[in-house]
Amino acid sequence: MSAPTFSSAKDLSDDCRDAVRALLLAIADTKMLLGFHYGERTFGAPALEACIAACSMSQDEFGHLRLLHACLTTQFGDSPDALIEKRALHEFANVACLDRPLVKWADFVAINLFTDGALTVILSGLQKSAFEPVANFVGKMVEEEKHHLRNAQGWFRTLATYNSQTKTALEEASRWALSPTLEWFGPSNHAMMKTLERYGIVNASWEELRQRFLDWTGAFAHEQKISLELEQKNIHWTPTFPIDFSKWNAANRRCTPAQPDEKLLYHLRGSKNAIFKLGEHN
Amino acid sequence: MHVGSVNAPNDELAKVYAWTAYDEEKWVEMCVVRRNEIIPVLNPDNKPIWGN
Repeated sequence: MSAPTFSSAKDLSDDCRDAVRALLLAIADTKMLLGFHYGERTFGAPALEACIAACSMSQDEFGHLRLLHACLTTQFGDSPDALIEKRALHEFANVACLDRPLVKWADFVAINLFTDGALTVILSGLQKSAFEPVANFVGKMVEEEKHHLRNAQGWFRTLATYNSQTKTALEEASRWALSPTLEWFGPSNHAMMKTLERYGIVNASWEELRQRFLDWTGAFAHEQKISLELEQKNIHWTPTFPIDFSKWNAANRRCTPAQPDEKLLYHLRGSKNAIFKLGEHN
Repeated sequence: MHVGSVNAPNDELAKVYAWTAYDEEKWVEMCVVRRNEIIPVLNPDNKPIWGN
């Protein structure tokens, strides 16, 4: 007998509905900020082609954001206006390394590989989800994300081998991005993740998804001789630094009270152009 | 059909740049060829119009 599927959020149990909404919101928030940072690199990337790629990836992320917000609107009664314009900063559940403007090109490459890569692992975990509204659109996202990862891997290899300066910058940026990305994954034994597994919302256990991310990035960085705080034990890669999940907040997927920079959200929301938001209610 | 050119430090980024710059059509296939692999037919002694 095949596992039950859910055509609407109304068919989900209360705990599962909350877990699915929280996950979709966290993915949407991260994509919104990734889209912003990619878009910022439309200018100032090391090559014209890299500018075009960054701009294209930004458009992809904002397209995905629209799809996720549409799902949150139709299935969970949210409104994009409230999700973007009216939430307090501490409610944003994005990966924390996206909270501030990026400083250097290596930061861009690091979030492209680690943060966008983590999202892609989770999105691939949502393929054939028992929650049909998500299963219907996630395949297109994963397909587009392949180009993002190819860009990330191409630049990672380039910086890792170009010279000692680019290698050092990449190493620093990678460590800076990896830790908050793992914090965002959260503790695999958390009730929310167990709920997602139990109802078949994800197609693998949360721990398997997290390990898939670590094994891929750990092996890839090792192959490029980039030293991350990861070590290989048997076939699996594990972090050598501790993450204290005792204060992990499932609502914003953070262990500390960190939040996105207000100025960054001001630009992202288009606040200075609020009077031109025609047809929207203030 | 040649639709454009990109400058890239390696094959992997060449594929990404070709896709992100020229994905406006629903291509059946898209290929990237290194400049030094191209054999000009009409003007074999001139540089191709897409440059270096």
